Amino acid sequence: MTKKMIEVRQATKEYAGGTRALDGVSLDILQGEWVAIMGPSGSGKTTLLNLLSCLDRPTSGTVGIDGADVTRLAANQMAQFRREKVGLVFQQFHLVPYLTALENVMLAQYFHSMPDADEARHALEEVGLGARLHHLPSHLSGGEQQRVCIARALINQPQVILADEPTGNLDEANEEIVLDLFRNMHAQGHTLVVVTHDPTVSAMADRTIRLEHGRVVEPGEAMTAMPTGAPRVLQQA
Amino acid sequence: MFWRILMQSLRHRWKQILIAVLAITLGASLAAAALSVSVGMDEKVGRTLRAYGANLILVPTDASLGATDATFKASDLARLNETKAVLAYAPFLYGVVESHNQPVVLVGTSIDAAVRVNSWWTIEPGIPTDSQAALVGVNVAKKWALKVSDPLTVRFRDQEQTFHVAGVLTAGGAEDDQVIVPLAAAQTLLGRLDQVSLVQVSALTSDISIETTARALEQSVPGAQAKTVRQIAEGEVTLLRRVQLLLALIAAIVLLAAGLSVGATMATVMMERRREVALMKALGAEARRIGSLFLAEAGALGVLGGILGYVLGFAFAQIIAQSVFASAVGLNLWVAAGSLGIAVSVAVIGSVIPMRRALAVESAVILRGE
Repeated sequence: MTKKMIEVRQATKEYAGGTRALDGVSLDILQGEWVAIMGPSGSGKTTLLNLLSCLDRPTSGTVGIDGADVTRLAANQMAQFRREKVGLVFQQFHLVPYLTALENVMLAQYFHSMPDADEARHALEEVGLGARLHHLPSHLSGGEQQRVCIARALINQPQVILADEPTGNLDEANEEIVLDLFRNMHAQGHTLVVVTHDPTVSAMADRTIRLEHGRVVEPGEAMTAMPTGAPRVLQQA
Repeated sequence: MFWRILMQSLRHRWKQILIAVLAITLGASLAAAALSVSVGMDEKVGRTLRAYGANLILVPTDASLGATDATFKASDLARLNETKAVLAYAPFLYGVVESHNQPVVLVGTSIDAAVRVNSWWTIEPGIPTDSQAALVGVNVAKKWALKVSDPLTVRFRDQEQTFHVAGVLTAGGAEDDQVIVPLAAAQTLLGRLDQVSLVQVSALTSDISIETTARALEQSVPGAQAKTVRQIAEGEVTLLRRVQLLLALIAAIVLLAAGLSVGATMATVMMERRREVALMKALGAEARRIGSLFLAEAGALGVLGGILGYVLGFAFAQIIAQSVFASAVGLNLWVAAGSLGIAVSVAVIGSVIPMRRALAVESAVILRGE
C-alpha cells in the first residue's frame, strides 16, 4: 500500500469580498503519483496549488503533506516546510534576473542549506544546460529558463514537485523537452502535481483531477500501487 | 553565496542606486566637514591663539599693567604648570637702568619662554642661551649702533653689569626699545631676587573658558591678578562655535534629506523587486534572511556613500578652515569612522520601511502575476 503524500480535507479558501476560490475540496495524492489538475480559468487550480505549496492557508479545512497538517504551521515553519519538502515550477519561470543559471540553482541550495556549485552544475547538466551555466536569464530562451527552474526545483531533492502550467509559455519543441524531464522526475519517485490546461500534459499523468467553481468534479481514481512507465489517464479535456 | 547575491544585485541596478549613493555622499560629506572642522579647529584655534601670543596676563594685585615697582614671587609660578589649560608662560621683571648715559627699560625674562608666548618676535641671528647674553630691541640697536657680540654695560644705582649683545629683537612693540636679559641677571642687578612684575600666559580656551582659567591662575599664584586678552580668545571661540552650529544644522538637514532620498529610491527598487522577494519566500527563505540581504545592500550603499562623503567632506573642511580660520585640518580616523557610521545608519534606516513593506508581500499573489 503506497502511503498518502497529500491529504486535503474540506479545504475552503475565501478571499476578501467573499470570493470563494475553493469550496470544500477533499483529495488524496499518493507518494510517487503524478496528478494533473485541470479545469477552466477561475476554477481554483492555482489556489489549490498554493495551499499544497504552503504559500497560502485555507480559510477552513486541512492540508496534510507527508503526514503533517501544514495549516497549523507558523510562518517560519511553513518556509522551512517549503524548502525541505517542495519544489516549485512556475509558468513564468521566476528566475532572479541578475543571477546566472548556475547561481539561480545555487540560490535554492543557499536558502535550503549550503550552496554547492558542483551539485548545481550537475543538476543543470541533467536538464541539458551544461553549456549555459553562466548565462543570465535574459540570455536564455523560454525553454531554457524553464529547465533552469526545474533544476532549481529538484536541487534539494524534494518529495513533492508542484508545477503551475509548466509548459504554458513554451513552444512545442521545448514542451517536449520539459515533459521528458517530468517523466524522469516521475520515474525517480517524486510526487508530481501539475496544474495545466494542456491535454498533452494531463495525458501523461497517472490521474487527472478536475475542478470547477472551486469544487472537485472528477477526482480521478487514486491508485493503490504505482506502476512506473505506464501512466494512466483518467480524465482528458 | 550571500556576497555573490549582494554584488550581482548591486551591479545589476547600479544606475538606480547611484542616486541614493549620491544623496548619502552629500549628507555624509557635510557631516564629515562638520566633524572635521569641529575636531580639527578646536585644536587649531588653540594653536592660532598661541600664534597670537599670550591671552592672559598675570600682574601683582593693585598694580597697573606695566608698573615697574609692584612685584610678586617668581617661585610661586611653578604652580602654573599644574593649571590644565596653560600651554606656556613667560615671567617678566621690569626695571629702568642706564646705558650710554641714557635711561632704558631692562627686561628680565626666560628668553626661551618669552619667545614661545610671543611667537611673532624675530631675533637675529638667533635665540641666545648663555646667562650674560642680552637681546637688544631693534631701535636700541640702531640708536647705539650695537652689533652682535658687542659689549653692553648697564647701570642700576651703584650696580653695574656688562652683557654681550647676542641678538637683535624685532617685535613691533615696546620691546623694540628695550634691553632683554635672563631673568636671574635682571633680578640680581635690580636687587629683586625671586620677584617678577608680570607673567604672560598662553592658555587653551577651547574646552575651558578663559575666565575659568583666569580665576584658577589667581588662586594658584598669591598676590596675582589675571587679566584676559579678550578680543582674541573670545572672538576665535565664538566664531568656531557658530561655524560648528551652522555646519551641524546643515548636516542634519542634508542627512534627513539623504535618508528620505534613500527611502524613496529603496521604495522604488523594492517595488520592482517584489517578485524577487516573493520567489525567495517561495523557495523557503525566511523573512529575516531576505531582510538581511536587502539591509546588506543598503549598508553597502552607506559604506560607498560614506567613503566618498568623507573624501568630499574633508575637502569642504579644508576650504572652511582655510577661508574662516586661515588654517588647515588634518586627517582624523575617528572623523572618518564617524562619517562612515552616519552614512551607513542613514542608508539602513532609510531602507527599513520599504523593506518591511516588500517583505510583507503575499508570494502566491505576486508569483501569479497579480
